[in-house]
Amino acid sequence: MTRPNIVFIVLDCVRYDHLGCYGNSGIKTPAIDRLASAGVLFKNAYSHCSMTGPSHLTIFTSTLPITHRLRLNGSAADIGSPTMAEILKDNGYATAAFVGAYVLNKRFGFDRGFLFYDDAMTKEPFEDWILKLFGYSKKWADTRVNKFSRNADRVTGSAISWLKKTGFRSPFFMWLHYFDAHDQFRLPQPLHYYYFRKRDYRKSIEYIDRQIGRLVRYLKKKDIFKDTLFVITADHGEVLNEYEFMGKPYRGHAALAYNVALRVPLIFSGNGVMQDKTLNQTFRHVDLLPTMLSLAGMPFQKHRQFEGESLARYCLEEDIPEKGLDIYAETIQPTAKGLPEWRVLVRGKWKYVFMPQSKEEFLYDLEKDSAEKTNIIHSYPEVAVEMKMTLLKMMEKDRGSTEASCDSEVKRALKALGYL
Amino acid sequence: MKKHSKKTIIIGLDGVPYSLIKSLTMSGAMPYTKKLVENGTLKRISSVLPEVSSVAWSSIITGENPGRHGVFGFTELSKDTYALRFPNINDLRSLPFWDKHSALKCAIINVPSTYPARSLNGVMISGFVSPVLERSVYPAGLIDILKEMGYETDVDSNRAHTDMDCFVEDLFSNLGSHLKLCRYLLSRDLWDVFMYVFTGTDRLMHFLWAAYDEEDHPYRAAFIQYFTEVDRAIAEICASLETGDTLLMFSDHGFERLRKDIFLNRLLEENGFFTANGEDISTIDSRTKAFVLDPSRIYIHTEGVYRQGGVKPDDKEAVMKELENILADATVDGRKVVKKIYRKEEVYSGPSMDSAPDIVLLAEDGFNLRASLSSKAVSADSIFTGKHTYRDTFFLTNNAAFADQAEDYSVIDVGKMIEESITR
Repeated sequence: MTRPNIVFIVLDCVRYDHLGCYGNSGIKTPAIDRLASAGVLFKNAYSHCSMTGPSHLTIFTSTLPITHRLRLNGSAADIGSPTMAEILKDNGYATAAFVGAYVLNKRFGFDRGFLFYDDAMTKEPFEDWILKLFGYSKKWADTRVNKFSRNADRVTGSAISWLKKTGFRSPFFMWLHYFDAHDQFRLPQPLHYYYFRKRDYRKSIEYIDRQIGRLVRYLKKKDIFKDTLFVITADHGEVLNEYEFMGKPYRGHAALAYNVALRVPLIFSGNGVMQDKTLNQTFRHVDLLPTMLSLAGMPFQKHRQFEGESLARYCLEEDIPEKGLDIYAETIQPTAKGLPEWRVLVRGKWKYVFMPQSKEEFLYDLEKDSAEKTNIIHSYPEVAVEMKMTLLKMMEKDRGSTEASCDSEVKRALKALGYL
Repeated sequence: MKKHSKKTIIIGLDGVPYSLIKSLTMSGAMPYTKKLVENGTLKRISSVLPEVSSVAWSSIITGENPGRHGVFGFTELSKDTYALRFPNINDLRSLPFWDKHSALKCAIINVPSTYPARSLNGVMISGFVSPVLERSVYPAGLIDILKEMGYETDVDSNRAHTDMDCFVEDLFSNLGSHLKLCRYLLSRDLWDVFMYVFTGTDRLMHFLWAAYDEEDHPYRAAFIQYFTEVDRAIAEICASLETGDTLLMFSDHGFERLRKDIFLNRLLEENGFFTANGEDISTIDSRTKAFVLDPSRIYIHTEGVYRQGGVKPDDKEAVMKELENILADATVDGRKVVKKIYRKEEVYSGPSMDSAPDIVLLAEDGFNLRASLSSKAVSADSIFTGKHTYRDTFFLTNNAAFADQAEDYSVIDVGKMIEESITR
């Protein structure tokens, strides 16, 4: 069986409910909508943390943040397990990445497994010079960054020129990271206009969509579209002032783990995936890598560290009964002292939130209260207790496992009292 | 934040029997406890099966039976790899009271089977078995303070096997360091519930119950002295009680004189139920029809449950019956060994029944049931002079609301009382 090409698109910060195919008629996203109607759309897809770096590491390794323990952007990912790109490369894929922001610079380790990694935010030295001259370089993660992000047209452009350069060698795996919807630091005009023509959140999404359309057209023209599996998701969502944080309406994602920040779009399209299907089945980011690998016809069982499972059959067969999956999520910012840590467990219609510092607990019925406004923990204490148990056990992993090395010490103590 | 008006102090005396409390308060060795008995209520209660600290304390802190909370001993055998594993608080399937009522500030100190320490609203210093101090402490800021105090979770009981003087000395100094910690935490007044468990009592009684039993024993004075020190420490802790606060003081099981160690796996081996290829329980193979884990838990080695299980599910009942007959008839030195044989359904209920032993035994007085393969013989003299009992556990309270409870209750009911008391 020939392996399909894989185009993996991450829409940084794009909320699931801000795409046409997810029912938002106010935002025009025809390219993504077409891919969705030619494929399978998961309505209930979740990220595990609302921060770009950690969330990508989860997607790339199918491990939860409690396992990989990357909690911050700008710190090096300690990648102990094989990554998406690495596994694909080992299976004969030409792997390439086109990232839209400095957060995913290769110095943080995300380039593992990629034969080509384009993380240059500027095109030519002139740009760097100009930005520096005007004093727009900014210190970030112990280094000077002249330009933090780039526009979708540059990301797509880079991908297309790479395809040309490699002579359309198949199979390929491309990861495109679109950062346009992210709230960016502003440059003064006219520089700002030059770089960020479309700063409105909705317009940014529409702009990204046009760039995805451009890529699709190019692949069709080169006759490689039909052999390509598209996977589209976001690394996390975005809170658009619906909730308050520190007394003010909050725009952002990293501080609050409400569902608008956690839920993501998720679309599989092409290469034998069923057409025009919208599924209620829960999908977690840890399930993405196993699912992608099995849709591309690759065995993944040997990667025992995967914490997700393949949901490929939902993409290939009709009427598979829904499967209940526990979703762990968190928001932890170790350097930002005083910001509350959220630990979240979603199980079916229930969402349980535990804040370890203040010990506050919340329980929401997502079916009746999707906005998470009413804490009903006192009405359903037994539900909360069950979920808290699961969550505490998961959190225990965070403290590191030294169980095996302790066993001899435990044995010695038990033996001394005749308990062994 | 609203200050919780009524506080609860919970004091555990690991292994201390009702009869010992009676006698030491009468003799004047525990004068403070004597006052507590006079002004409160002292009751004889029972432990839980099997009567071992890990199971009893897990029942106390959750108020649930093992069939629900899932801890049946200090050891478990993997059904797949046959590796012996040591359950810790992460294996507990019910929430301990401090997690259930996290609005209350709790200081939980030296409670067995609470390792590793997890975050809670308050302080946790895990008790036996706590192999790594750094993981026994929450919040982590306390680690340095504990080290400065010379705090150690437990004495090294291995010492008792080689140098009894040293062991006894260690027991006293360990008690001293624990009391220092209690003082430190009590003085900070940051708690609604304060729980401390004296565990040195259990260690002392394992090795030196004979000192209590025999008037001319060389360690008799030390044995009594130790309890006097414990009594002083209780007085210090209780000094924090204010009017209306509740004291709950109790043991997790009783103790009695140990006459003989009984090695149950050897008994099964003699009767063709058990075959091991080494001195380790993990070396059993498909010829084994049943095996024992400490102290008296019998598991049928059933096909489909254990990887090498040799007993067909249809034959399980017959194997159990045969085994029960053998156990009921077993005698050592002309005395019956087993007092009672329980099927798991008789003593446990709840979602953890799958991991419950199929049969649990209660021994006749003086017989210490063990799983160890260290002895080739079924019975042997022991280096220990004391052993746990199911009966003769004690419960003492200053709160009349808990005084009228039925005579016939167990440490599981004590767990329920804790919850009742802290949520008043």
